[in-house]
Amino acid sequence: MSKRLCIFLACLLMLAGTAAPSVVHADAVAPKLTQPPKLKQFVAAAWPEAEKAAGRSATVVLRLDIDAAGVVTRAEVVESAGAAFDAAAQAAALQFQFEPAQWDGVPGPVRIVYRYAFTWKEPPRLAVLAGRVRDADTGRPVVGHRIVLQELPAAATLTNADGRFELRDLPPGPVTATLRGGRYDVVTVREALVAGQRLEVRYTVALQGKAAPQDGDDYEVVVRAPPLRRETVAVQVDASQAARVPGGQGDVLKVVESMPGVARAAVGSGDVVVWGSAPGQSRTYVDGVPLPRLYHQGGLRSVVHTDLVQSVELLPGGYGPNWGRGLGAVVAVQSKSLRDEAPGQGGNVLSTHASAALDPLEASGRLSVPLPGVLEGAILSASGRYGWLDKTAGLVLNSKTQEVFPIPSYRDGQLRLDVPVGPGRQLDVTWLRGSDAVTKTLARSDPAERVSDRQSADFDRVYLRFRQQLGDRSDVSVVPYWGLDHSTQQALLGLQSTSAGQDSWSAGLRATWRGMLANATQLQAGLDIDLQKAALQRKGAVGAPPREGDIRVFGQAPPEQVAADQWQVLQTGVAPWVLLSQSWLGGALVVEPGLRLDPLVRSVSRKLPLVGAAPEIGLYSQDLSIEPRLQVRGQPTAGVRLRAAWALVAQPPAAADLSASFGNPALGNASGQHVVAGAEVDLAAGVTAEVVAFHLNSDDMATRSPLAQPLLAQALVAAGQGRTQGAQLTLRAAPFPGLFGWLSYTWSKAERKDGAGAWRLSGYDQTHLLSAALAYKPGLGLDFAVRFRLASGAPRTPVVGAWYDALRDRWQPVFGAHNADRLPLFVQLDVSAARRWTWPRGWLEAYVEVQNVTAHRNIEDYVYSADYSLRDGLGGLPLLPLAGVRCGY
Amino acid sequence: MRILERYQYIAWWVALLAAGCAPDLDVPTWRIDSPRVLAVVAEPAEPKPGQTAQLTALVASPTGTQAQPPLHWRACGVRPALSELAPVAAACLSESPTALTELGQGPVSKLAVSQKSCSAFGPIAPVAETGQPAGRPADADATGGYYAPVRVDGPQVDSDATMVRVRLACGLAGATQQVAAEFAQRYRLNTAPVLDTLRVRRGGTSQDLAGAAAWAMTVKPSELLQLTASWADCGAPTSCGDGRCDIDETALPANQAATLQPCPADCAKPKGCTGAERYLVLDPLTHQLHAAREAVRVAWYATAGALADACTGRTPEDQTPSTGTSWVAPAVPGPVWLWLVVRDDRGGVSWREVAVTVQP
Repeated sequence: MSKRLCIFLACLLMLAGTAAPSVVHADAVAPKLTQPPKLKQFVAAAWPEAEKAAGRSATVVLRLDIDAAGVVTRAEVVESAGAAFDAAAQAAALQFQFEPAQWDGVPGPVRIVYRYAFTWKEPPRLAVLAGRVRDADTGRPVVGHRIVLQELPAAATLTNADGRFELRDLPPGPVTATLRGGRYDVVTVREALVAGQRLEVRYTVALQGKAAPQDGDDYEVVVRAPPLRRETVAVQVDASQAARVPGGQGDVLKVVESMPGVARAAVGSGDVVVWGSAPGQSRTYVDGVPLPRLYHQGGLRSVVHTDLVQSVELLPGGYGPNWGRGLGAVVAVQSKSLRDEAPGQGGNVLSTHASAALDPLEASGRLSVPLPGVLEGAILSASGRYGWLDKTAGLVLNSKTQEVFPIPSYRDGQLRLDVPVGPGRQLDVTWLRGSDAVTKTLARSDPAERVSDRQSADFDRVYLRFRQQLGDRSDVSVVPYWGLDHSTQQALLGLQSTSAGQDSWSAGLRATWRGMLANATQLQAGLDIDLQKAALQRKGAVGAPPREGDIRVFGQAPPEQVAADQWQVLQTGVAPWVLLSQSWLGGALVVEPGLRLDPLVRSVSRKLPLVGAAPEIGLYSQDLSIEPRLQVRGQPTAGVRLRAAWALVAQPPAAADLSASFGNPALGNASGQHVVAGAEVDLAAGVTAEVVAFHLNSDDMATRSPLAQPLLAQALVAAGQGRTQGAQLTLRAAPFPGLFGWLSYTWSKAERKDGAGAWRLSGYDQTHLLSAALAYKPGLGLDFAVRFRLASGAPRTPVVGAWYDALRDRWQPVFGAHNADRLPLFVQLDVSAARRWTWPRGWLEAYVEVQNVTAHRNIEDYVYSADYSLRDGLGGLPLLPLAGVRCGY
Repeated sequence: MRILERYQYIAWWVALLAAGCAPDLDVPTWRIDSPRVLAVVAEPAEPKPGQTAQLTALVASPTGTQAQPPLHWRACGVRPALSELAPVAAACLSESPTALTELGQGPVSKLAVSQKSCSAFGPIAPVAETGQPAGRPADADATGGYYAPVRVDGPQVDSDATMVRVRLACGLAGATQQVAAEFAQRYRLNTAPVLDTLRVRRGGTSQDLAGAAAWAMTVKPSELLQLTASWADCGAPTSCGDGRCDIDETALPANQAATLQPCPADCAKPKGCTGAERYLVLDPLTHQLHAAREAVRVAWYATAGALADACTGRTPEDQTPSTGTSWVAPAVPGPVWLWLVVRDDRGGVSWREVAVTVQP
C-alpha cells in the first residue's frame, strides 16, 4: 500500500497557509484578489503501478482552473514527471475541493499553479499468512472456511474453491488464527509472522461429530503447523497423519518411534534412542512440564491420552536455549486447549462430548463438559486409559508364555479445567497421572534359577498453563508445575534379592516472553526452574541393573555382591535464557543466537557410605553451565532452505547415581556439544527432501570405576565420553489429498569411551536406520497405511569362552572385544486398515492392524546355553494382528 | 522410575526376562563324557585369617571319580573391578603372574588365609596410599560372605578353567562395635552340607543308600528311577544338648549370656548342622543383624542315561531337607556313575558318588 505513504508537500504547504501558489487573474484591471483559494478536500493520487518498482520520487507541476464554486475544472501539466505520474496527479487534482477565491470579497474563478509531489518512502515490511485448509478425513479442500486473527479482527478471510486463503498486510509478530466454519470444529493455531515474509501453512480440520479431537478420535488431532519458532532440526509429523501410521493403534505419540533418526528400541522397552543418545539423556515434556517417560512400561502406549495431544515435536539436537538439562533429544508434546477445540458452532456454544475406545490392549474414554453456575464458561475434561492386556492376554496366551513374558499393566488419567479469562488469554489447570506395574514369577526346581520380580512406577503432574497476548505484539506464557514420582522394585533372581525405591517430588516453573523488537527482530526470554527432592533406597549388586557399557550377555546373573544405601537428593536449577531472532534479506536469512545459564545446586545426604555409628555427612555442590546456542537458517532460492545449529548442552546427574554405595555423590554435570547442518529442498508440489549432518559429543558422563579397589563413594566416576556423527536423509511426500508418506535413512556411528579405555561402539548404536510410511484415504471413510522399518542390530560383546564357577555350579562367560558383534538386521513391515462411519450425532470407527506382516524373525538379543557353548537368537514380535473400535458423539 | 536411569531400568527388566524367554538351548551339563572338575571342597569350609584351608577337588570322568587328578592350583589376588560384572577378575583367567600365585599341583592343595585376604576380598578397606582416602572394601554376598578365588586347571580336565572361591571368615563391614560384637558372639562358621541318604524308588519299591560306605546299586536298562537326596534337618528348634550350637546359644555362663541361651555343652566346641543351617547376616541397609537360613542345592551328574534336572534344591524358605529328580538308566548294560554334589549358599560343599551297574 505504497500510495498511503505518499506525502504531498505542496498540498500541505497550502493547507498550512505557507504555500505560495502563483495566481493569475483573467483580467489584469479587474478587482483585486482579496482571498486565495483554500484546499478543503485533498485526494491522494494513486502511485502509478508502473513506477512502484522503481521506487523513485517525482513532482508534477500543474496549472489548475478553479471555478467560483471551488471546483477544479481543468488540470494542465506545466512540468512533467513522466506520463504515469502526470496522469495520476491530474486525476487526483480534478477531485480536489477548494474554498473559492474572492475578488474584492466576491467568490470568483481563479487559476493557480500546484506542485504535486510524489515522495517515495520504503513501505513498512508487512507479513503474509497464506495457506490451505483441508478436510482431515477426506483430504479435500474446505471451501468457505473462515480464518480470523484474534489480534486483528479485521483481518479475516474465507477459503476459496481450492481451500486456499491469504491474509496480506499483516504486522509481524505472533498471531492467533481461529479457523471455523460449517460443522467443522473450531481450531486455533498460533503463528509467528516475520516482516516481509510469507508464511505458508497447511491446516487440517475435522467435522465435529466425525472427528472431534476432543471426542476421543485418535485420527483427527490437528497439529499446529508450523510451530511458533522452527527449530533448526525438528522432526514433525502431522498428528492426524501420525495416528494413521501403523504400530501405535492410533496412539499419536507412538509415531515418535518411527521418526527419522530414532533407533529401534528393543521390543517391550519403550526406549527413545535418538542419534545414538541413551534414553536417559533425552527428555520428555508435556506443555513444558518434564515427564519421567513418554511410554508406559513395555512401550505399548504413551502416557498421555491421544485426545489431549495437539502436537509432538522431536528435537534430536541443536535446539534452542529454552531446552536444557539433557545431553540428547527433546520430545516436546503440546496439549490441546479445550477452549480452542470447543465443539459448538463457532466455538461459542459449549456442549457435552464423550468418546470411548476399545482394543485388546486397553479401554479408554474421555468426557468433556461445560460447567454451570459460577464456573459458567469453564470446561472440564476427564480422560483415562485402563490397560488390560495383563488380563486379556490370558485368552490367547498359555500360562507358559505368560510366565515367560510378564505382561505389564498400566493406567493413566488426565483431568483438565479450562477457565475463561477473556480474549487473548488462556488459562487451564491440568493433572496427569501414569501408573505402571509388572509382576513376574518363575518357579524352578533349582532355587538358583527362580525369578520373582515386582515393579511399579507412578507419576503425577499438576500444572497451570497461562498465556496472554500482549498489546505490543508480544505474548507471555507461564507454566508452574508440581509433581510426584514413586517407583519400587522387589526382585529375587535366584538366591539374590534386589530392591529399589524412590519417592520424589518436584516443582518448577517455565516462563517465556516473546516479542518483536523490530520488524525483523524477535526476542524470546524465559526462565526454567526445576526443583527435585528425592528419597531413594537400594539394595542389591552394584552391577545390577546394568549400565550402558557393561559387558554382559542377556540373562547373565548379576554380580552376587550386595550393597545397600539410603540417600536423599535435592537438586535445584534456575536457568534464565534468551534467544534473539534476527532476519535479513526479507527473511531469507535468519540468525538466532541464544544463551542459557543453568546454575544448579545439589545436596546429597550421604557423602560416604554409612560405617558403624559414624554420623551421616552430607555433600553440597553446585554447577554452572553456560550454554550458548546458535541457529542459522537461510533460503538462498525459492524451495531451498539451509540450516545449521550449534549448541552446548549439559545434564545434571541422576539422583540414582548420587549414592555413596552405588554411585558417586560428587558427580557433577555432564556436558555436551551439538553441531548440526542441513538443507531442505522442495522437489515438487508436496514433495520435499531433507538432508542433515550431525555431530554430537559429550564429556564427564558417569561411568563405572575401572579400578579393582576404587575409593569410597566412587563406584561411578565422571570419566565417560561419547561422540556420535552421522547424516540423515528424509523424503516427505503429500502429493495429493488423502495420501502422505515419508522415507528416511539415517547413517550414524555412536561411540563411547570409558575413562582411559579406547573408543568403542555405544550400546545404543544402530548404524543404519531406514523407516518408511505411507497412508492413503481413498474415501468412503476408508484408510489404509503401511510402515516399513529396517535397522542395524544393536552391538553386543561376543562370548569367546567360559569358565566354571565351582562355588555356585554355574558357568561364567569369557568375553571378546567390547561391542565387537551385532545382532542381526531388524526388518519389519506393518499394515493397517480402518473404516469410519459417521452420523449426525456420532461416529464409529473400526480398525485392524497387523504388525510384522511378513512374520520376519527379528532377533532381540542373543541367548546362550548354560555353559555358553551354544548361542541362539531371542525372537521378537511374531506376526501380530490387532483390532479395535472407537466411537464418540 | 527415577531411581534407575531409564536404560538401566529397562535393561534390568529385560535381564529378568532372560531366565524364561530364552530359546531351548538345553545342554546336558549333567552328562559326564570327559573329565571335569565338579566341585572343590574347602576344609574348613569357612577359614579364618591365620588358618589354612585344604582344597580337594572332585574330578569326574566317564570311568568314575579320578583318584589322583593332576590339577594345577593357583590363588588369584585380584579383586574384580566394579565394572566387571563377574565374581572373579578377568585377570584371574589370564596367565598374569602378578595376579596368580602358585599353590602347587596334585589332587589337593592348601590355601593360607591372612588378614591381607580380608583386605583384598573382604570387609577390611584396602590400604590407602599416602595422602589418599581409604579404598572401598569388598561387598559381601547375600549371605554375608567374602571369597578368595583359586584357579584350578588340569591337563586332562575338559573345561576352559575352573574357579573355586573359598569363603573367608572376615567379619563385618560397616557395622557398629555393638553389632560386630554380637556377630562375633553369635555367628557360627559354616559347616558343609552332607548328603545322608539317597532314596531310589523304582516301580513300587524303594531303596535307601546311606552311610559312609560307598553307594552302589543295580538297575535295569532304561529303568526309570526317582532319586531323592536328603540331608540333615536343621529346621527343628534347637535345644541345649542336641549337639548343635545354634545362633541363639552360647558357651557363656548365664550371667554373661544376655539374651542367648547358655549351652556350654554344645557351644564349647561348636558343631554345626550338615543341612540348611541358620546363620547371622548383616543387613547392609539397616545395619542390623538378622537370622537367615541356608539354601541347599544338589547338582546331579551321570555318565550315561538321562537326568531330568541338572540341579534341584530348596530355598531358604523351604525347610524340606530333601530334593529329588528322576534318572532313566541307559539302555546299554554296563557300569554307570552318578554324582551328587550338595552345596549350601554359604559355600559349603560335599559330594557322593553312586556306582551303578546296569544289567538286564
